[in-house]
Amino acid sequence: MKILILGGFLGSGKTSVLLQLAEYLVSLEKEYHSGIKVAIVENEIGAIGIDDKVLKKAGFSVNNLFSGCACCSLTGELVASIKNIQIELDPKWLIIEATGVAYPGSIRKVILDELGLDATILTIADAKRWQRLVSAMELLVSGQLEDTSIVLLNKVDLINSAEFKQVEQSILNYNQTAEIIPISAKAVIPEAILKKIVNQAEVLFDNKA
Amino acid sequence: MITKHNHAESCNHHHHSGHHHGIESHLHDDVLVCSGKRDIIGDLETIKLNLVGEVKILANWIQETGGIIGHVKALVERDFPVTMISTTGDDVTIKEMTGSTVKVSVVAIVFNMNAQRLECRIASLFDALQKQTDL
Repeated sequence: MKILILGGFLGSGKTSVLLQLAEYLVSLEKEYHSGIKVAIVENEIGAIGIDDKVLKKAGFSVNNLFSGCACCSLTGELVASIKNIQIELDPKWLIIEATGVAYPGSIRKVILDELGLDATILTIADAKRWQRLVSAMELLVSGQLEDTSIVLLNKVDLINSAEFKQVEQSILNYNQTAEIIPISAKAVIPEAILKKIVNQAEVLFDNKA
Repeated sequence: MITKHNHAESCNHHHHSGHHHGIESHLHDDVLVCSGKRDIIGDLETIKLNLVGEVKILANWIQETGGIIGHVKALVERDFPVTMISTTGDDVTIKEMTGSTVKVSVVAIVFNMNAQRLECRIASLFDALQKQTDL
């Protein structure tokens, strides 16, 4: 089971990316033995789930973690959920959508420490609100970039090229090794980008195997 | 015990142990997470249209009162017709209810905001939505 963690601030577009990524993964895994090719753990900080309903309507197998964060208050539930998914569904891919206030690096560490499974982190950043969010809550938004190998810089259709360069530089100040890929998740994400994400996860998985 | 609380912006909603019925809020570090759900009776398309306006008003209110929006999300679900199958031992009766009840959920995740004020504001959103739908 290969694990992808989708992180990023509230409203950055994680669920929009997840829908396209999950559909792409399903299309890649036509021959996989399990009925469930892609399972999703949806972590929402609110008591009422909204994104999980959207994902279920799209036909995906979704496990919910509500009213807390998988990186801190719900670590036990996260580990139990992953174990159950592995035993009962045995999917080829597991995607964990973090809450918008989670630190994806902490989630990765929990999974590694507790289950010995490594995960690839993909962080979504909101290009339109980036500078405002950095000013208001730098620790959180910069912390979400730690340990990520790819940053999908979303909503680039809403900023000009000068603003794009500023945001890109700001992200690089916090994570110098991440590859920054501009996208607009409300449109179709090009297959080459989805392929790149999948390749990163495959390489990590193969190196650990 | 059902009480009413007092604060700067008077709120006429009833509270139970400090909470609005159907609306829950909690703090996660510095983040206020407020979730509410209500059944609204009326036409789905009208409710959707009105909800778009109400969510915009809520977002403006949060920003005007100094809050920072993480996100505000709303979900509209409709389950109908409802079928009831009943018997007293003889015939089995089937009753179809075609009236449209729409479930509306709202989740607001906000920084720098008082919990009771946001709960009241979301309760007002649901009230406004029902009133607009009744018109």
